[in-house]
Amino acid sequence: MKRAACLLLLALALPVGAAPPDLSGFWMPGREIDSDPELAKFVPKDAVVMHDTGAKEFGLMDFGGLKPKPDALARAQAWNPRAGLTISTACLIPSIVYALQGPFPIEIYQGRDLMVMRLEYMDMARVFVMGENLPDWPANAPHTKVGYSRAHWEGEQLVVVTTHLKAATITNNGLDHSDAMVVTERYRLADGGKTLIASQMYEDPVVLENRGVRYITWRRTPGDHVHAYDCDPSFAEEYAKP
Amino acid sequence: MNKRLLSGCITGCCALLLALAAMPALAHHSFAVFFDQDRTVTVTGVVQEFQFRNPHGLIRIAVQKPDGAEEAWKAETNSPSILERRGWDKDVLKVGDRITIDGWPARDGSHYLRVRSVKRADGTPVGGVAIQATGEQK
Repeated sequence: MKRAACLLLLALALPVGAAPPDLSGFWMPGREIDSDPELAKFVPKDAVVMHDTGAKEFGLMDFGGLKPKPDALARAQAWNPRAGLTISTACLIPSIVYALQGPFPIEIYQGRDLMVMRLEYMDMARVFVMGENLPDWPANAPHTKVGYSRAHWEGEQLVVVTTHLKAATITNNGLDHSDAMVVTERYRLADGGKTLIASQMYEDPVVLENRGVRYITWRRTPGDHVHAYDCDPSFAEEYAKP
Repeated sequence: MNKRLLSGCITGCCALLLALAAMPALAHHSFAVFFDQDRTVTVTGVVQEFQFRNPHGLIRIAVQKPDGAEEAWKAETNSPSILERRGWDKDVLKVGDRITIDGWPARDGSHYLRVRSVKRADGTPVGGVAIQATGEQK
């Protein structure tokens, strides 16, 4: 009884937890940045910063500092971009590893137990299950292009860890991640809530010798929403026609 | 090697093989691989066809050369879902419209380019604004 009373008093004495930042809303791609001082504190020193966010895209055999393992490197060397652009592949959805950094808007719906992030690119939608110490999914659970994302707040930062990603491209030039990819993201608001900044870090022991990270920004754009993407694979025919 | 270690090795090898077997092909094509980011080209001609679809719109134009002969050119835009926010829609260009396209040429030397801007004969930008801003090449 005494213990319960103490716990009650302690609970009453603790300050009520501040509500987490509200990331809800529509976000257009923002300016390119090399890093972010607040998010960089949590990025391992050995993670290479990939500078292909937004406008840039790497050419053949340029992986922005990522070090592919021999098998992955051999596949990248053998990769033929023209042969790969077919009706069956033109609208193949990438995983969130490539999709998030592209020049497309996102829309976030924030709840206490779940968050939803819609990506305009390829009509994708991510679900973040909120909570700490959530159980792992079984290794043989289905792998998808959005994976299984668990998220929690650390102060003002949203931390999202995603597993169960289906193999897909990392850099859109022949380097693909495996089903073992783990993506750790951190999101924070800046500029009084007008800017959203993320770090997206990649670890794939099957394919990569090292870790990589991209920094991505968006600007809040009230009143807009994601548009339908409706990818049309017949686009690939243009590369076969004269 | 004890049984547990052997079992772990087999499981690890299987996981590796499964992961490698699951490797994907290319999805949406790469701008950097297909187009030369260091050069631009400008062509003026008459619209033959306009497709407004993701992942890229497509403008087919006939370009008249100085000797009077016609050259067929194709130009791909960035994503229509982005262009919709800049005043573009499926009817923004009509067959017969005379336009000037500025953009990045295909690396293979074909008459194919990636659009940076499209202007009408009177110089006004199609859709009312330049369509290609920094950060939107992919």
